[in-house]
Amino acid sequence: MTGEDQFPRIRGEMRPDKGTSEELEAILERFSASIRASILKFGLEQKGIDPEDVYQDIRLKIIKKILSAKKIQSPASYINSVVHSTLIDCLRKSRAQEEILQFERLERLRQAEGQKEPRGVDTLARRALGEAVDSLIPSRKKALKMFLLNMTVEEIARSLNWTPIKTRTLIYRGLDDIKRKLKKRGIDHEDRS
Amino acid sequence: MKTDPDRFKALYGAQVGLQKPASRRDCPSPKRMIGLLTSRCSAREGSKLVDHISLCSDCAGEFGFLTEALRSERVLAGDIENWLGGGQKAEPRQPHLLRYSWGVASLLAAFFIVGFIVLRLVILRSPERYRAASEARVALLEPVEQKVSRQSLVFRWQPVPGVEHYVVEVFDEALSPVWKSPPLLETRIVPPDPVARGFVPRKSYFWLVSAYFLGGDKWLSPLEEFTLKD
Repeated sequence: MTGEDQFPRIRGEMRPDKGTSEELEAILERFSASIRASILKFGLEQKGIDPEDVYQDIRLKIIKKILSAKKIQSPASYINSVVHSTLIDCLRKSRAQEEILQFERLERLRQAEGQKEPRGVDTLARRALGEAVDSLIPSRKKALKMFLLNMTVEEIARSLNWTPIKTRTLIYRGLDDIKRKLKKRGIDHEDRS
Repeated sequence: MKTDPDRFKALYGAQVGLQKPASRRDCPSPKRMIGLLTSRCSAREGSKLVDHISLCSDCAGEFGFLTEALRSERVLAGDIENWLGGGQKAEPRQPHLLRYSWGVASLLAAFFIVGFIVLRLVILRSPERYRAASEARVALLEPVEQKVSRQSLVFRWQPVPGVEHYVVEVFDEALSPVWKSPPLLETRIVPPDPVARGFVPRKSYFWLVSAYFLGGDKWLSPLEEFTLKD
């Protein structure tokens, strides 16, 4: 099947100003690769989430919309809603499946409790860090937790409706506080200079 | 132990990874997590969600996945908008009645003003304000939200009475430390050549000054941004 057969209506009135169907496929393929990588990174395929299902669902909805008779009024918000609803659905299904296998889950938890903690992780520092973060004032704690959960400063700012500079300052103060708290507990550090 | 943010992130990730709840009945729904990521939840609910996520490895995994998926989605939306071309973005089709209607525009403006006042008075009655740290008492003079050339890059700040020494720190956008000065007695410093050469032009950096007192007290300046022109 050629690109023209796949996207017959992209011609004429629905034809995008610049793009070709191959370019659209390449865009979607890049998206697919990043979604697949994220699912594998967080071990969600073990919880019944198939990266291919997620991607195909999103891909089909987007292509169907692009090929429909109407112009897309706001592509970003349409893509936004398609991606969000697909992600919500797939995580809901995965949780429902987990509920069914609750017995196995408890069994795995019991096994995990019996196992030693992972090697190379500084247990004392890890626990002390968790406690230090929990003892921060609420605004610093929230910003710092999100930062330590791998969100960027811009993402945290957007999510909490804060300015980037406020967010960055709160995170910096939080980091400074926990360094001091760790030092007090004898977990000394050396700064990169 | 290195205390750069990546080290903290690794330790915190390991700590969260060990928090395995016996059941997921109390876990927030994926929709609420997306709500947090897209700024569609209250400050209070946001705090609750973040606290839960940091105590539940399953939710932390899902939250990490959603964070990355939403990053990819932003790229996808941008790429598709570009692919569709400027025409569709520039001229969204409007319902006929709304076109050129000043009456409707005034009505909408009034609606937004009333809505804003209600929001301010009712919903945001006790907003979480940014608490300027009491210790943020060192005033930075330059560079402050400025574009400066590499040759003229000098960090200057107001003197603080009774200070034993100052330390200047520079961070990148992710708050990773880039440079830390030795203890300083003066209120200005030109970064050493190798450091200045390491700054990437047109990239944002942040700097602050810590003022240390004899008794062990420390005052901090706010974080200020600067960018190199060349």
